[in-house]
Amino acid sequence: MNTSSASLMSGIPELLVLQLLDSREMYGYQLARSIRVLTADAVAIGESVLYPALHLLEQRGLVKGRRRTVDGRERVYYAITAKGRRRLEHLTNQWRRIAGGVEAVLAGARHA
Amino acid sequence: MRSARFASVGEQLLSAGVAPRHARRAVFELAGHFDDLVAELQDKGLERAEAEAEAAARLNPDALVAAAIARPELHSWVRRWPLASCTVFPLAMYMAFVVGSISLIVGGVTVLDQSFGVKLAGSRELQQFAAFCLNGVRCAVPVFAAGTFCSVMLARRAPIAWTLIGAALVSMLGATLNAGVLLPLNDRPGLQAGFGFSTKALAEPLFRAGLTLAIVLPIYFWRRAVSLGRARELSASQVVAIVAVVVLHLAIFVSLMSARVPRLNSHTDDTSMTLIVIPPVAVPRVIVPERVISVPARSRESADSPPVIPAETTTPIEERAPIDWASEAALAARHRADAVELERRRARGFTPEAQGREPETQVPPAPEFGWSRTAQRVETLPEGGILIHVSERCVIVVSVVMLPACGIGEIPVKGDLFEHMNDPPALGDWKDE
Repeated sequence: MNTSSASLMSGIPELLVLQLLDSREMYGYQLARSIRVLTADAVAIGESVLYPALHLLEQRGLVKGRRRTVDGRERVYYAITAKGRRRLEHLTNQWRRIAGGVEAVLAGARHA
Repeated sequence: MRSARFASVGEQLLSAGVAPRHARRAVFELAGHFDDLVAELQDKGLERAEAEAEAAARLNPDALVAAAIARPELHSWVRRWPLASCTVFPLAMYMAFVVGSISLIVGGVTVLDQSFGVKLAGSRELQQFAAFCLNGVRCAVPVFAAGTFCSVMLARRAPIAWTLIGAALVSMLGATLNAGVLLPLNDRPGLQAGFGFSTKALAEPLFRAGLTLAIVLPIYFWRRAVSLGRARELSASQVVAIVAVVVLHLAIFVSLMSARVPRLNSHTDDTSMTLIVIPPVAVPRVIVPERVISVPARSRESADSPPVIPAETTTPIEERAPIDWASEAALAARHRADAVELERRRARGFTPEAQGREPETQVPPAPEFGWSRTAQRVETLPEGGILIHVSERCVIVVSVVMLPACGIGEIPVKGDLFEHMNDPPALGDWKDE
């Protein structure tokens, strides 16, 4: 998937971040690295841009950040909230509907 | 410090209006991310310098700044509500400081009264200390509030004009605050505070406003220059020395203000004065008969002497002490002066001239009656304006400005309940003969 299509990609960082945080709490570098690895570099979110997005999600109450010191390094770890889980469910359903529709069109075009 | 590499990013975010907490955290996270990226790239075999260059390119702090600026939700409230932040906020903050500090003083005086029996009316030292504290509130709170406001605005990199407007408003409002110890002659003592100024005496408020700005603004501009890298940070000892000098000057100023509080007997602007001079006269003893039934005829020898009433026919109620007319007159004069003084203070409001009276007499404590809600709440002042009784302790004087005042301590009885009991009946009034 090409990241140049901004409109198509606008909701994807939020969806990916919430999905990753649903399993465990992470800090920014871990999130960026996980997205890179799991999407096989298909989705390349600007690593520094991740932070304003995380702050915004926290402002909206979807994630909660707290400072923790692990192995002598202090970092800000983010965890999903209950409101974030509801938002994740909504985004996931929305994405699946869109992806299914796009897939159906692509499949129809192939059969046509 | 690892965040030093991205200090310029933090300054860019602040200057663009991003809230300080978001800016600080973004710099902190960016620095941590950079270190993790460098470590990852070094694990892949890159040299330290190459890894740092690669990490810096991948992070692209300019993209972070642009993304943060594009999110209004991440901006500080100063940028989102500029008008309120430089008008409502500083004034509200100043009022909160005033109310808080005066509440502390009132609380302290009340605790001394109720727990240790130290009465405000009876302790000259407590009166002086309370007056000093209230003058401290008048002088120091505007400086503290304006300084805090400037600091808040500087942390959010607000434009200079907004900061100056807010500081000027605080200094002007602070210059109109008057507070003092209220010690009426025949009323309960209290601490009073309010806002007001006299157009005939503008020098002092203007001086106080100027003093506030003269203290606060140089520090603000110096701190601003430091934050922009145009001046160097002071050492801790230099800061302590400057603070000590400022506090010392403020204390001297407050002491001078406390020393020049006008006294009750020093009013020279009264347009009317009643002077009663009654020389002390020795009054002979008088026996008051309850009822005289009959008086026997007197002889010629006894004509010049006072009549002698037989013991069987007279019943003396009591043998009264001679009336000290001089002290009675002095007491009446004091009562009159007290009433005039009270009315004048209500009319003047909280101008500096109306503050800090000295007691001359004290009413001994007497049983209290609670203030009734059915009592008349609103009084019309003869000089104009109204007096609203909020409670038995607090009133609001509504004149040119609204002035609240509260008293503390015991509430003495007025003692005028039977004052008009023996008045002759007025026309239309009914009264048994």
